[in-house]
Amino acid sequence: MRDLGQGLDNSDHVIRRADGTQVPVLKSARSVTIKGHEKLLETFVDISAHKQLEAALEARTRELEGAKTSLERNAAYLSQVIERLKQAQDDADRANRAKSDFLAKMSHEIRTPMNAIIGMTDLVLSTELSQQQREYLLIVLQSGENLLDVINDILDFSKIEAGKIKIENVEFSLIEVLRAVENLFGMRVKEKGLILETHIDPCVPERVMSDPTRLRQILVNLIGNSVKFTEEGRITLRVELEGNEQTLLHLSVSDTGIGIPPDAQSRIFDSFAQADDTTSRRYGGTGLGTTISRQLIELMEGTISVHSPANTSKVGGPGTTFDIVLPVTISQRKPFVSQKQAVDESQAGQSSVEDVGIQPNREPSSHFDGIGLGKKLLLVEDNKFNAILAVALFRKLGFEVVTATNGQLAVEAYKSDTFDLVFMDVFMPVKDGFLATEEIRDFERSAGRHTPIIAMTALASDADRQRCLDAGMDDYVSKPIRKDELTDCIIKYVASDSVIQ
Amino acid sequence: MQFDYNRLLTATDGDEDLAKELMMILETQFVDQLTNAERAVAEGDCRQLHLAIHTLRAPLATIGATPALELAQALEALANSSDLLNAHTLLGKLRKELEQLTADFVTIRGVMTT
Repeated sequence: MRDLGQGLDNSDHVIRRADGTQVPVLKSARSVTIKGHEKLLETFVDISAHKQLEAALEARTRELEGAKTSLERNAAYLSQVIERLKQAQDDADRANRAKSDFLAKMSHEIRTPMNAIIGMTDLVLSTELSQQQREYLLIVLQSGENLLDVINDILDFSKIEAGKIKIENVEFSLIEVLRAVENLFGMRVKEKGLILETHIDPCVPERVMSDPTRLRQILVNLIGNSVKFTEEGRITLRVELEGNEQTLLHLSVSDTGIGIPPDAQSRIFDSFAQADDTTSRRYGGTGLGTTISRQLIELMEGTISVHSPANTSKVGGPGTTFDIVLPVTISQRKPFVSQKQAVDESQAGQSSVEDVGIQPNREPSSHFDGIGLGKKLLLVEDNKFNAILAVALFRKLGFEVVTATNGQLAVEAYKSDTFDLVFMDVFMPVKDGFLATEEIRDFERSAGRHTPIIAMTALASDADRQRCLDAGMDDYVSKPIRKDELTDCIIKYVASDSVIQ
Repeated sequence: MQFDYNRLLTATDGDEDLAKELMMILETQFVDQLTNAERAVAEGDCRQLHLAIHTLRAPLATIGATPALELAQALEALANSSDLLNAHTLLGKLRKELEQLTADFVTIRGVMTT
């Protein structure tokens, strides 16, 4: 047999078996030569299984296509749902922001007339009044002050809710923040016959990096609560470092007040929540103080917890302790103890004026008189008292002194004359010392010179002083003005050959 | 005496005439800044209150007027915290201190001229 190589047919057919059943087959027909005779060879292959498989495959394909269409429909629906939810979320956020903005604006608008009401009531109280008039006005005053407290809380809460509170991380003096808080409550504590004491662990560094404004606000809130809810005994603020890394500042505010029942402690940080309705009625307030404190602490990545024992202490009530742990960066390892001693000494009867910078007079600096001879100095100072004192001291040192009473006049004076030194106040009307310095430095870049500018500032923190340096100032001296400090600073910037030893 | 005359004299490097002139300037500043501060408290204007009190702070430190300075510091702290709750009370106390200081200045100047 010889295959002629010609496939004449290759197609599907359905054939009928003898029993009558139909069978799908693949028919092949080829031309072959058998013993010299050309023949047609036809083969039939049963493809039933193949056809069944094909049919199942088609059915599965249709099924999958149906599922795909269904999935696409669902995906489109889900997209719409997500879009609607997003829209609803945006609407809710907008509404919440609008609510917070409204509350903030309204609170601000209410604060201004409230201050006028309180201020004027106080002024009327200082005049001659009958006993009854005085009593009525004192009620007005107390109610106004209570209302102002409520408004302030709402204002802070709204700002936090609206995301308008930004947490700073700047270097500051911890003791200054603590003393400012003590000063704030000094009178109220005294009036209630309470004791406010501060214990600072010697390991606590003098300076830390965190947000001094918010730390102060938190302490004011918590100590304010303690003063409010304590009728007898003391309020104690403790400051320690916690943890091996010594970067967690632990502050606790404890009092001998009415305490917080165990079942109320969990909700004390909730908005508008107080221990119970009786507390609200008796002591007033919004119940926002602890909420605001917790929100601020969380923004500062810290924690706050409350403890109040069920049993009554010997003095006053069971008392409450708020524990705060705040992460801080330690900028100086110098311990707090030296500052603390300074505070203790001042509290022990020493003049607290030393705390704002005045130190006992050192050795006379008269041997430096004449250090400024032949040199011209620009003094920028708006306060007449400071200006006259400084001018007298500079002249005594031999300087020719030109004065300007604000930053704008200073820039104009600087551009029209040549100076060896500039002493610049920071807070001034029209243009402050920062802006004036920046403009002088811009002018100098084109003029190709650099004159030392020394800030004269009552600003105490390193962050404030750093701001002076950032503005382009070379150095700073503190206010109140002292001749020895001025001289020490001047020596650094005037030519050494003019120093008369 | 509500201030330390020797401290003022140290600040002026022993110049009595300058000390006298500074006391007279302060008398005027007390009146001006108290008026500004009282207006600021009445209007709830913390910034203006801060400005008024801040103006007094360095001079009060220079003359060693401790009680007045402490009141000024407390008021400045209130102004910084936007919490004027006790401001009018503190301001009343500051007014009394400044009035006493003014009386002291008059006394000192009287002694200086005799």
